[in-house]
Amino acid sequence: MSFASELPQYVITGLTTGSIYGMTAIGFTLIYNATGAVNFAQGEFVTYGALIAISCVAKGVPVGAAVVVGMGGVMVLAALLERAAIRPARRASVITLIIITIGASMLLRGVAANLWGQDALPMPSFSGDEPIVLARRGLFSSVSLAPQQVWVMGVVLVAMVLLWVLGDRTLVGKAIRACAINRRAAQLAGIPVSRMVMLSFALSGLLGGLAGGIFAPIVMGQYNMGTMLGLKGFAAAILGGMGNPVGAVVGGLVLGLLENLSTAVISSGYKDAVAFAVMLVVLLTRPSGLLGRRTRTV
Amino acid sequence: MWFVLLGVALGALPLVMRGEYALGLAVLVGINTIIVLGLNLLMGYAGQVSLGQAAFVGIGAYATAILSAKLGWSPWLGLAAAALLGAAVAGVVGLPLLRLRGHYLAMGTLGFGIIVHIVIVQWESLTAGTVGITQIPPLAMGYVTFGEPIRMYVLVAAAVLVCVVTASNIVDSRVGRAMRAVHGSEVAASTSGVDVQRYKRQVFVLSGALAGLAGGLFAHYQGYISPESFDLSYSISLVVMAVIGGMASIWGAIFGAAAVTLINESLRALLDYREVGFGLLVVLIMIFWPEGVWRGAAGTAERAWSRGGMRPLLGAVSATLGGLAGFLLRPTDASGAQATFLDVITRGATLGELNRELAPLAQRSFAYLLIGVIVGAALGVTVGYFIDQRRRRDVVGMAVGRSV
Repeated sequence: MSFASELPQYVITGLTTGSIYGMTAIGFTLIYNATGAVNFAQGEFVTYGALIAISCVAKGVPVGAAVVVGMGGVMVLAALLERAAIRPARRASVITLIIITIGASMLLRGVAANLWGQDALPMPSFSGDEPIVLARRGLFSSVSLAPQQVWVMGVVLVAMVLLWVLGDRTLVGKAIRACAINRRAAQLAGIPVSRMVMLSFALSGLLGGLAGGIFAPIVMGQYNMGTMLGLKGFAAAILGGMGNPVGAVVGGLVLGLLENLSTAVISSGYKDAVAFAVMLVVLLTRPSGLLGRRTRTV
Repeated sequence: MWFVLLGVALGALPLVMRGEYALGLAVLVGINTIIVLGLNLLMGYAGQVSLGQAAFVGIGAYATAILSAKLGWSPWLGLAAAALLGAAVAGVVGLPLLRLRGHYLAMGTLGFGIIVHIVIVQWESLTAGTVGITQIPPLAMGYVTFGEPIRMYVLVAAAVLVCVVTASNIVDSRVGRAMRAVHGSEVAASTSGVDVQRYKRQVFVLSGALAGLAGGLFAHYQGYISPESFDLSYSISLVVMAVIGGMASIWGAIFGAAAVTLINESLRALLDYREVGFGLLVVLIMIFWPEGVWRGAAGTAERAWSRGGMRPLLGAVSATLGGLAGFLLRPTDASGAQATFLDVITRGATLGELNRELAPLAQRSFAYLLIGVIVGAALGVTVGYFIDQRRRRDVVGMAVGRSV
């Protein structure tokens, strides 16, 4: 049956998209752990990462460096966001914070539309477009990997490892985790919490920017590419367990897979709805998510 | 008593604003007000967040559109069906959703809203997809057809009045007190014997009904509907309206709906910068006046008064008036006929004309606004300064004169 032979292809695409969802979800989780707020502007970090990288490439900067510049730019943006919008309102209610980040995302989207126009902009793949065929015959003969997909999955994997090292083996990382576990206790232990919060934002921006840079060759950069991505990233974070970084990645991968596999069963127009339907199911049956263990105490 | 004033104000409005454009805007404000009233009750009094309210509006709109345009039902029945369907869906969806709290509820309602939007777009056999449904008959009563803005305005104003009175009665009733208890603390409320889940559901259902009703009115007013009117950004606009006006406040709902609708409309002059301007405004207001513009401004005014006396207050007030005057009185016609925007609103101009005039004068309108604000501020501060001097002299005079 064609589905069986197409299955590996769906899986690959699902894992690729899922990796990006996972990166976005980790960004959400970092900020949620640090401030208890949901950052609706997370998707815009991805957008800016992509668009800045595209602009650099257009000016002749090699692709790798362009992505790094994008990451740096978004990192600064995220820190600015924290300073300007989140810090002044840190004692505000849930709904206020939500609206602030929503307003920020509108603002960022509008600025992006003005700076880069509304058209989708292409970005060259890192190592060409020659598909890597997995097998000459047999079950996997129709399966091929685009090199960029390998890049996406590989970079995300490396990023996860580095994040783990950061959180587990460095002082800064442990300090950030401490703030997430119990803010007051961290303060008493001498950790400058407000600086850690800004660092969390910066890190989240870094990851978002990276995600944008590596994903842009596949989906093209556009001023509104981040909006849906951000929302689905949040769905992924909930699926994996809000507040759990590992859960965020797992949630992202699962979501990407489910979303792609669903197109075999239902019309592709409903694809976007799948992510949110899954999220709703999780919220209503097991709100703590797949790996639910919230590391944040109030 | 206040409602009499509201009724009078609503009735007097069309005497001042006569243009189709202005009245059309007023109808939109009215429709938004109805939705925001429900949202306000839900968010402000019961403390629940809904980022998917546009879904109910869309459900109501499509219900009445399908029933009246495709099946030939009477528009009034369609309207009733819109409200009922909105309530029913809210009831069904609210059962599981309202067990969530805070961010989870926000995301749950958001997800619901997005799913409904996608379903509307994809279910083409029912909704005609992105093409939308056209030729929706207007509401009619005997010989009177509520097709033109002025007639629709009367209908919508009446609906708003009824909804405001109803909402106000609910707030002051046992149900309202129970809701406020729930908002204050669900645990405390339930230990006091309040059936928390039931009241949350009731408010949610009411907000769904109001949204559905408004959607139906919208469909019959505009004559055609398409999915893009009921997307996530509309849901967000509605929440912004509720919050900007101040949440646990019925007047806040009216103010918020009016303010955001009008701001959105005036920001159209900014063209490409519209979303930037709106986003910036939202962020600033939520940072400085999270309790809503009314209460926030009142608080700021009080602090300004105690620290600076008349000057900042008068300066701010006259700056606002100056800006408004500048914006309204700027010439709309680049070529020669010196009509001002104010003339356009009161004398009436068609939307087509106005759109043509707004676009090329984008920069000019805001230049006039800025000039108005600066002149107004300068004037106000100066006058305030003199008034302050006078007050000080009087106080000193009293002290000197009366001291024995």
